[in-house]
Amino acid sequence: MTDPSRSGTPALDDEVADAAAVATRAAALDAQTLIRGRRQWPLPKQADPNAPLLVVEHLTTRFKMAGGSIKAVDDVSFTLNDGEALGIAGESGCGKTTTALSLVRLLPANGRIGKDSSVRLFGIDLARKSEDALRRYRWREISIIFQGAMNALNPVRRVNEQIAEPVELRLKVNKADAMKRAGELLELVGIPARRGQAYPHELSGGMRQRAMIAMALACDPAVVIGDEPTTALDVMVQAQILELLERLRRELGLSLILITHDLSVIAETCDRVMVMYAGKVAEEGAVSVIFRTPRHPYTQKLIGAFPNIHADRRTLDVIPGSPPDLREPPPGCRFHPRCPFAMAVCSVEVPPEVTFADGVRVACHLYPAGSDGAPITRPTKDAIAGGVAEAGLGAGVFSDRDEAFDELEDALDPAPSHTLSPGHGLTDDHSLDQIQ
Amino acid sequence: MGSRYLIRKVVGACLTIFMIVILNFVLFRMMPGSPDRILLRNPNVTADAMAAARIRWGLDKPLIPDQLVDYLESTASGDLGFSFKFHGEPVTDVLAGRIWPTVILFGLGEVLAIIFGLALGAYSGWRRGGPIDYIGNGVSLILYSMPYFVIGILILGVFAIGLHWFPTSGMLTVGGSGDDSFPSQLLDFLGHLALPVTTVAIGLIGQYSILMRSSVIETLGEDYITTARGKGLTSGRILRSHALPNALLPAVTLIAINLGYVIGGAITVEVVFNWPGLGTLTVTALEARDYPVLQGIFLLLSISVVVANLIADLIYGRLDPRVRS
Amino acid sequence: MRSPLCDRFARTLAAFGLALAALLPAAAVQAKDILTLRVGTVESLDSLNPFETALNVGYEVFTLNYDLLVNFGPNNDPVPGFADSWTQSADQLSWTFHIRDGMKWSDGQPATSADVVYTYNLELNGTKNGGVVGLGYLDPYLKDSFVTGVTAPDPSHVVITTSRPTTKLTHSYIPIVPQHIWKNVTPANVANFANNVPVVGTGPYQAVESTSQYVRLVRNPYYWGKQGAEDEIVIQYYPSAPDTMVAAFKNSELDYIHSPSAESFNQLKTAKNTVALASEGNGFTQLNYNTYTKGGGASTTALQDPAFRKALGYAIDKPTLIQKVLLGYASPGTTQVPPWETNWHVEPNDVRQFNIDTANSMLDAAGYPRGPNGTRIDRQGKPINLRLYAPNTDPSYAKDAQFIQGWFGQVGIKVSAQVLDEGTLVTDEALDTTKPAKGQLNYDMVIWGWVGDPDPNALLQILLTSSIGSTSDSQWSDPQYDQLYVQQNEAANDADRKMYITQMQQIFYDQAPYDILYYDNNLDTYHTDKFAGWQNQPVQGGAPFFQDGSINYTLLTDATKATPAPSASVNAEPTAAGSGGVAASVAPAPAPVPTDTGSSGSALPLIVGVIAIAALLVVFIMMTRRRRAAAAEDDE
Repeated sequence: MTDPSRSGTPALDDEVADAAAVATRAAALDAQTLIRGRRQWPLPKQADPNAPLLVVEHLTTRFKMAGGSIKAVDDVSFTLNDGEALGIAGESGCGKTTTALSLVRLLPANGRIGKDSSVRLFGIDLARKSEDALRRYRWREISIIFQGAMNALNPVRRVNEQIAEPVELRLKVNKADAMKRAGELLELVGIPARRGQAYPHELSGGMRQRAMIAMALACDPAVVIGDEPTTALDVMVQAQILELLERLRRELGLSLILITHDLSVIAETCDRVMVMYAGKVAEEGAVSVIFRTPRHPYTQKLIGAFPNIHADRRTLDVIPGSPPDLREPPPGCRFHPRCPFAMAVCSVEVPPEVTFADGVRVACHLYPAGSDGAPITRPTKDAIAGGVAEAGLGAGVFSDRDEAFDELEDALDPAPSHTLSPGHGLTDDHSLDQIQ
Repeated sequence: MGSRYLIRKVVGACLTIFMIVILNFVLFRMMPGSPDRILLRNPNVTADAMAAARIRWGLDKPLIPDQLVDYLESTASGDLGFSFKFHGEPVTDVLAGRIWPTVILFGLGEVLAIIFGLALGAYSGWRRGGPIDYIGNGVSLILYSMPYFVIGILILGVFAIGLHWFPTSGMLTVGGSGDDSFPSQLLDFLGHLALPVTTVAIGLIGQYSILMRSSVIETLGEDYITTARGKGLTSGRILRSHALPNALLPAVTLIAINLGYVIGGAITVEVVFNWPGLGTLTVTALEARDYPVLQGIFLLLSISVVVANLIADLIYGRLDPRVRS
Repeated sequence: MRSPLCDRFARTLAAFGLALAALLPAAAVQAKDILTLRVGTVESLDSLNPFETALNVGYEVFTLNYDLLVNFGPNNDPVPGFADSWTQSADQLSWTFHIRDGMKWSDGQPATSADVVYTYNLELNGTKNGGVVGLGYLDPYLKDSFVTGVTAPDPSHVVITTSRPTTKLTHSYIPIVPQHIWKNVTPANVANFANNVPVVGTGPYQAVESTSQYVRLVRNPYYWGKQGAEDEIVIQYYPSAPDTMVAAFKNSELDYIHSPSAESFNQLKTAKNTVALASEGNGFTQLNYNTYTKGGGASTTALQDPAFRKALGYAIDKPTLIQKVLLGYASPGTTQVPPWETNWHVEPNDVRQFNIDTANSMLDAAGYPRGPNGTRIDRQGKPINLRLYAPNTDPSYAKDAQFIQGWFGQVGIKVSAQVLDEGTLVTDEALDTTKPAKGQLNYDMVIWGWVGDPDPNALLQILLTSSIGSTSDSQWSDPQYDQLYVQQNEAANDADRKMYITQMQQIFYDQAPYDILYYDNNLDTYHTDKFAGWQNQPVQGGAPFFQDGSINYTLLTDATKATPAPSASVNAEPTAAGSGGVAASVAPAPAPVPTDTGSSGSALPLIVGVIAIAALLVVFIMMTRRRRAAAAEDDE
């Protein structure tokens, strides 16, 4: 505020300066409100309103063991945008869960994040935060739906209390209001609020998972990580849960990281998929592109290993061998011992990550730096497509959904960065619902 | 938890006590050496006197069924008979004066051991591998394996005989004090109580801390702890709200069961400190083959243990919703 | 920033401190001038009823509560008790006792001859037709005195008639109990009469408090004689805990202890202001054989042969046993009447000395040759393999057994030694005469001990044939011995009696149903800085307490006061010379040191300890208390 008693050019300058400052603040606030329209409260103070939601760069997680240390996650990078659903796929032990847990450093005592890793949420580097400072972001910005809700819920506390707990403690809400909110959340996920009085063991598997989802949403986080949320459930319940997640994404504008080994789940729910193998990223890109034209041999094998109910009956195309022992990973590309296209260079050099025009990122010597997307050895792109067709993909599993994916493709902006608008990533078209 | 469940449990407890009562009776009388023979160590006793004593104590009748039936009848009506050693005194009087010293000594010792043992164990489990864990665990193991009387004699030697801070034995300083006011009597009692209670507490602390430590470690490995961490709760909150309620479950059972043995007391501790409780009474009665007193003590003990087990069942049901049905 | 937690902590501590401060002055008020004598014993009082106590401590307590008709004097000589004078009639068949004039019971009621009549008739009626009064330990005192009637011609006189002349009436352990308290007690129900506190008697101190830990006696306000300087006597029990008792004595929580272990006794000999007294005891430790001739479980018939037993007596080195096992606190044993009973003990002829060669040759001569492997064989051709049992009540027995095992091994007798539970052993040694002997008496040799009375009958009668089935632990039977017992009991005067008793001792020594190992000393220790005027009973070679009667309690003076109380009729010089070959040490009486007559140890360390515990508790609470949520939460 200017002092009216002061007159002259300095006062005017002050006024201008003040006005500018106010305007900047207003613009910033607008930007926040504009960008984060679904949130109920402001971003963290340190947030950069213009930064993407989540940018992970060179994430490396080591576990110190008796014999040495294992790099469970080795130089993994990805980006998650507002409202997006990213699926992380791979075999057991490939590091997908560890990647997700590393975002909030929910690691056991012998886990360490690499010095060069960065996990930027709204531009704030969580990897550099101390444990105490990091706590602020847990659940409030990034929450996790754990696998196996029976074990992930405290057996001696009532479910609604467990949901209300972070609301009460993290958001400084009083107990009664927190319990009310817990009831609301339960209703949101399709559980009558009364049932919240139950203990975890009194609920069925599906209801427990829903309760976990409700709990994960308790603080309206920016990112929800689902760690194999449907793995422990039977198929019918699995479908319900996935449908729920979809609905919540639509209604609440959630950004989701879904970890699973089940590609069909990713196909149904995710916009983008990142395939990991032995702690490293094999391929990453939009779901429609990758499923249609998988480039990395591992991705091809994964998709090929999928049974196709529409195709002729045939034996499964399994991937020979098993994932490597991470204490002594194979030199060069970790997949080379099992790769049908392995070349000499694969056992020597770690393949570089190459990004293509359709937004896919691959780490494979078939696509050296500067590649246009065609593998440098046989089989050609056509061969790949043919292989895919041979496996029945493109004409099989997804045939009913071609239409939906076509629409998706149209909606996709070929440029890597997106203008964000509410509801991005999912249409309001409920055609998806009918497919269930 | 329905009343049918409760009734079933109570009836079961009563049956157990009844069987124990019969067993106690039979076992004691099967011991070689009968109380009338103990009288023989005075040269003035005559065969007539021995025979009269036998008759007076009902030992001339056959063991089963006469003596047994007599015993069961009188016990049911609350008459525990007369002591063989403390001539003329009813057993209920003999026991009554001894119960509360033992209960105070062992009960207080148990409570202290529970408080400090659980705290130490929880902290050791929480900060596993830390200095307190190593020291605490090591000390707990050592103390757990030391018999009471060794601990007692050490404490006695250092604090009573060596430093003269506390009296060596007994429960009260008798006589010589014109000051009968309650505060000074209380202080006198506390002074006598200090060393024996410390001995009992030290002897018991090990089992609680070791149990709690492993229970906490096991609990901390559960997934819901990861969830709690993920929720961004402080470690204090995680420990108190999530870990301890689960980790305490085995400890609660142990506590409830142990409290049943409070009446049995620690015989060796009582002997070392000459504490006039049920422990020293048991030794005296054993030597004199004082069956009625022994039967009375063991009746008390069995009731106490059975009731404590019953309570443990009920408490556990309250604490762990998974076993309620 | 002061958090509310710190406030609460400070407030709690302040409140605690205030509470303690309120208690402190009360604690600091020490005892006023009540002088308490604290005595420790390993026995635990079984009954306040004199007819129902089997223990030394019971006798001690009832001789403080009550007078005997004639009390035991400083040298166990008859001194006035309930009666202050007595005469025997010319025909020696009746005694007249004069009851002290104006004597009152401790509740103020007059004490008269009626009480004597009541008490003695209780005994007489109870023992008619083979009955017993209570445990029966007091019965022999009238039975052996051949009393026929007790009458009271007037309140001051009692006349007792006997069928034979006897001197035993002035050595009778029967306390005179008040008729007005005991009027409903009959021989049939005496066992159930607890005689609860406050006890009413004519003795110097009366029991007012009796718990499982101690009995407390206070001055009898109506006592006819002189009482000691102590206002109260507390006898504390340490059952099965002699070391705790010694610790309490060292800590000055006790003024007198009876029967510490020999090792503790040695330590206490050099302690300050302490007298450690080893005195001759009226008892012995023996090795008794199973001599039963009518069956039973003895492993060899050799045990029935006196020559065999005598020969073995040469294979026992008593001085070594005394030195090694008892650290010298005993004298070598011979007859069953201990030298303590100076009027009756007689050393026998041909006292056996330790000599392995003699033992060997005597065994050979008696017809027990060595077998092929060196073990002697008995007349049935069986190798002699003897079981030696000892009760677990005294660790010295087991040590004795080890030595004996070694010595007997050298003369060709195999011995296997075992410690048994007391109750089991005493049952094993007692023959149930209602059942056949087969299957009973499964022992060969036992090490145990006996304690006697001032009157030799107690120890003599164990060896009677009629004691088989009750107190006899050797099952020995000698008709001549039995006959002599009757004769000595009926002897008209002490000289005749002694003659018979002498013969009994010789027979016993020659036949050797027991081999008396040693006469144990009594070990007593007491402090001299609080009480003085300690006198022994007997004056030469005895000990102050736990003897016979309570006279020495009345002779104590306050050591902290300059002038001793006026002496009683006997000199009050503490003497400690002991016959029996053991010296005791006497610490010179120090200048009076003010002693703490209240609770031992100050209350300060206790308060410190309590504060420490409270502090620990607070620390614990703080450790688990919720930490203030990180301020960072709000800032980011």
